[in-house]
Amino acid sequence: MRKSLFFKVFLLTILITMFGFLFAFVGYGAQKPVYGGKLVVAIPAEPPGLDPTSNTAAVIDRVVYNNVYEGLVKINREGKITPALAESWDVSKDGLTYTFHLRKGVKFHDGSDFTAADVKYTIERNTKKDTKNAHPEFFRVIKKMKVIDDYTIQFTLGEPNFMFLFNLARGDSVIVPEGHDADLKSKPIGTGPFKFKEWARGDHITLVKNKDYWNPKLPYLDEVVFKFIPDETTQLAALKAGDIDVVAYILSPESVPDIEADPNLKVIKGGVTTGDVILAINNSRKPFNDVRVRRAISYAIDRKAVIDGAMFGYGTPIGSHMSPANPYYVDLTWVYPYNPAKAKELLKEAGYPNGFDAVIKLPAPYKYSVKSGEIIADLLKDVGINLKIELIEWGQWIQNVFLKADYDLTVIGHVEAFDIGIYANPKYYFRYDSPWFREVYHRALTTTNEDERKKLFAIAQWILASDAVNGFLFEAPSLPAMRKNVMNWWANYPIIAVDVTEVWKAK
Amino acid sequence: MTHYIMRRLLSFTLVLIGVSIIIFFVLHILPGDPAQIILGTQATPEKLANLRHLMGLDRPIIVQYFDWLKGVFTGDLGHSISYDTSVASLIGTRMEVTLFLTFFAIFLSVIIGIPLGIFAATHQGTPGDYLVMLFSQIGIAVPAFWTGILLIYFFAVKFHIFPAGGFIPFSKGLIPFLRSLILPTLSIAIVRASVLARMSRSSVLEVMREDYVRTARSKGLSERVVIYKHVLKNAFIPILTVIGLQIGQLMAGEIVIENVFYLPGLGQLVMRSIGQRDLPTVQAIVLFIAVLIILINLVVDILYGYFDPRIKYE
Repeated sequence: MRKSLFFKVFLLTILITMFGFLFAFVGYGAQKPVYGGKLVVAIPAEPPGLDPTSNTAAVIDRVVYNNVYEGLVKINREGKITPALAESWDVSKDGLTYTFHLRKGVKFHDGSDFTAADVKYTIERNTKKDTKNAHPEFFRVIKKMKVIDDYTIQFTLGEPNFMFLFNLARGDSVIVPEGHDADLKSKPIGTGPFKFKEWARGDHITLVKNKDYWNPKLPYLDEVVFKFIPDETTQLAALKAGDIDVVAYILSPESVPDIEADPNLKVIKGGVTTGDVILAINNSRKPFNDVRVRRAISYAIDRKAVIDGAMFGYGTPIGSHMSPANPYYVDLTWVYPYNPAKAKELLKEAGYPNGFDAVIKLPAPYKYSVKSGEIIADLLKDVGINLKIELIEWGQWIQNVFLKADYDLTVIGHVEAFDIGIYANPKYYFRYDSPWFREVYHRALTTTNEDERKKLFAIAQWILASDAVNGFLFEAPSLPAMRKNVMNWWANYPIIAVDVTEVWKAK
Repeated sequence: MTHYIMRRLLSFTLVLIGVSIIIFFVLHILPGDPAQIILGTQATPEKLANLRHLMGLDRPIIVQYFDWLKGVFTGDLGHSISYDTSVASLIGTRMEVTLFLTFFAIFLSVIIGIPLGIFAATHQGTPGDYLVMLFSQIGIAVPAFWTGILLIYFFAVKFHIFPAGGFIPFSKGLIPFLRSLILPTLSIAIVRASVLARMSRSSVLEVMREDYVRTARSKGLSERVVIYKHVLKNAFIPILTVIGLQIGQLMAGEIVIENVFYLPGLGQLVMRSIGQRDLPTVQAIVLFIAVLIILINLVVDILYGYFDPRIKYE
C-alpha cells in the first residue's frame, strides 16, 4: 500500500515538473510578434539602380532581395534553400530534370498574376545575347525549358549541376514580370512582402507592406525605410539619437562596447556573413607565380593580428575561400600558421634571400581593406617583402585590379555566397590556372552522391589552401546594431540580403 | 554703368563657353568607362559596345559636345546613368538643401561676424577685442565637421533637441525642415562668421586710419555716424568680396558637412557621380556651379560700384 502511494506521488511530482518546464519554455520563448510600425535601416551605400538581375552591385540585393523580389527559391536566415515562388520541386534521379510546382494566386505588385510565363520570361531575359545579368552562366546550363502549364515549369540541364538550385536562390535569379524591362531599374515590381514606394535619390528608399502577399501572416512591419548613411560616426549618432532603428552592419567594430553600454541599444555579435576577406595575389606575375613565394606570404601573415587590428577582434579566421556558414566548409586555418621563420626559409629557397619589393593596391572606401592591407604590409616587411601601399578609388579598383589584373597584391572581401567556383576561371583576376582544381570542382557539381560531393568540396578548398593562391584572412562579421525593441533580425547574413520579412518592433 | 554691365555680360558668356569646353573634354579623358561601371564587372565586350552606342559614346567628341550644349540651352541637362532620372530634376532636389544651407549660413555669419568685427575694431586693444579675436581664431582653426559632430553629440544624442542628421524636405512641414538643417547650418556659420569677423575688423581698422575719417570726426560728427556712414561703406568692399567667394564655395556643396549630416546636397551628388563615372551628371553640375560662381562675381562687381563710386569702369 505504502509503496503504491509513494509511486503515485512520485509520478505526480514528475508530471507537475514536466508541465512546469513546458509552461516556462512557452512563456519564455513566445514573445508574440507585433504587427505594424515603421523601421528605419541605415546602409552605407546607395544602390546604383534597383534591378538585381541587371547589376552585380551587392547593395541592390541588400535593399530588394526577399523584400521586394523573390526567386523560385530563396535562402533563409540559416543559409538553407527554402520554397519561395515554387512551392515544391522534383529532381529526376539522374539529376538532369527539375520540375518546379509554382505557387498559385500570387500577384506582382502591379496587380498582374504570377505564372510560369513570367519564369520563362525571366530566364530568357537573363540568357539572351545582350543580357545585363551578371551571371548568365547560371541559366545557360538549362538546355531545355518547358512550360507544362500555368503553374508548372520544367528545366532540363545538359549535365547534373549541384549549384543550379542554389543559383536560383540568388539575387541575380529573382522573378520579374513581363513587359517592364527598362522601368525596373528605378521602379522594381516584384512579388515580395514589401512594395516599392519611392526612391529619394541621395537620401532613402521607402518600401511599404504588400497587403496581398501570398503569405497572409507576413510581413509584420507596415513600412521600411533604407537610409543611406556613409559615415560610420554619423550612423552611430543617428542610432543613439533614435533617428534610425537599425544599422544593418557596423563599419567600425571598435564602437561595439560603446553601443552595448547604451541601455536602448543592442548588437548581435558572433554572426558571420559570406564576405571572405582575402589578400588577392596576381598568380601570373613574378615572383608570385612561384608557389613557394605565395606560401611564404601565407606563413608571414598573422591572421589574429589582422583581425584584431582591422576589425577589433570581430571576424572569423579562414583558411580557404569558403564561409564558415557554408555546410561544406572545412577549417583549413591550420595549413599556414603564423611562422615568419618558415616564410623567410621559403623565400630563400625560391631565390629571394633578401626579399623583394611589390605594390599593394587598396580600395580607399573600404576601411577594413585599407586597415588589413596596412597590417599585412607591416607583417610582410618582417620577412623582407617591402610593400608600397597605393590607395585607389573604387572605379579604379574595378578597372585596373579587377578587370585588367594590373596589380601585385590587393585586399578585398568577396561577398557573393558560395563563389569558390571563381577559381576555376583562369581569366579571373587572380589569374590562377589549375586544371586539377577545375576537375575537382566540376566533379563536385556534377556528382549526384552527396557524400562524394562533401569530400570533393573539401578537396577543392584544400587545393586552394595548399597552392596558397591567395592569403585567406577572415570572414567578415555581420555585427548589426539596433534599438532593443527590434526583434527577429538575422544574426548571420548567409546571402547578400537585409531581409526584413520577419522583423517586428516590440512596443 | 550700362556700358559696364554689357561688357561684363559679354565676358561672362565667353568665360562660360571656355569653361564648358574644358569641363566636357576633361571628363572624357578620365579613366573609367561608364558603360563598364553600369554593366558591372562581368560584362562582355559586345554588351559594352552596345551600351556605349546607346549612350552615344562612340560618336566623334565634337558632335557629342554640341549635342550636349544644345541640350543645356533647352533645359535638358541629360539623363543620369547611375540614378536613371533626369539630371535637371536631380539638381533641383539637391538645391533645396544646398540653397538653404548656403544662404542661411551666410546670413548667420554676416549678422554675427560683421558686428563682432566692427566691435573689435572700435575697441581695439581692449579685452573685448582680444576675446573676439580669440574666439574667431578658434572658429577658423576648428574644422566645420568637428564642430558638426560636437553639435550632434550635444543637441541630438545627449539632449534629443534636433535630429542627428538627415534631411526633411520643405513639403513635409516648415518646422521639421528647419530642424533638420539648423545643426549643419550652425557648423558652417561658425567658421564663416569667424572669418568675417577678422576680415571686418582689419578692414574697418584700415579705413579708420584714413584722413577723411579724421576729418569727419573733427567736423564734430558723433562716433556712431562716423562709423556707420563713412567707415563702414568703404570698409565693406573687401568684406563683400569674401562674402561673394563664400557663397560660391557653399553653393558648390559642402561635401564634408553633407557627409556628417547625411544630407542629400549638391556636394554628395558630385562625389557619387564622379565615383560612378556618371558623366552627364558631373558635366551638368560642374557647368551649373561655374555659371553660379560667375553670376555671383558679376553681382559683386556691380555692387562694388554702389559702395565705392571711385571705382570707375571704362
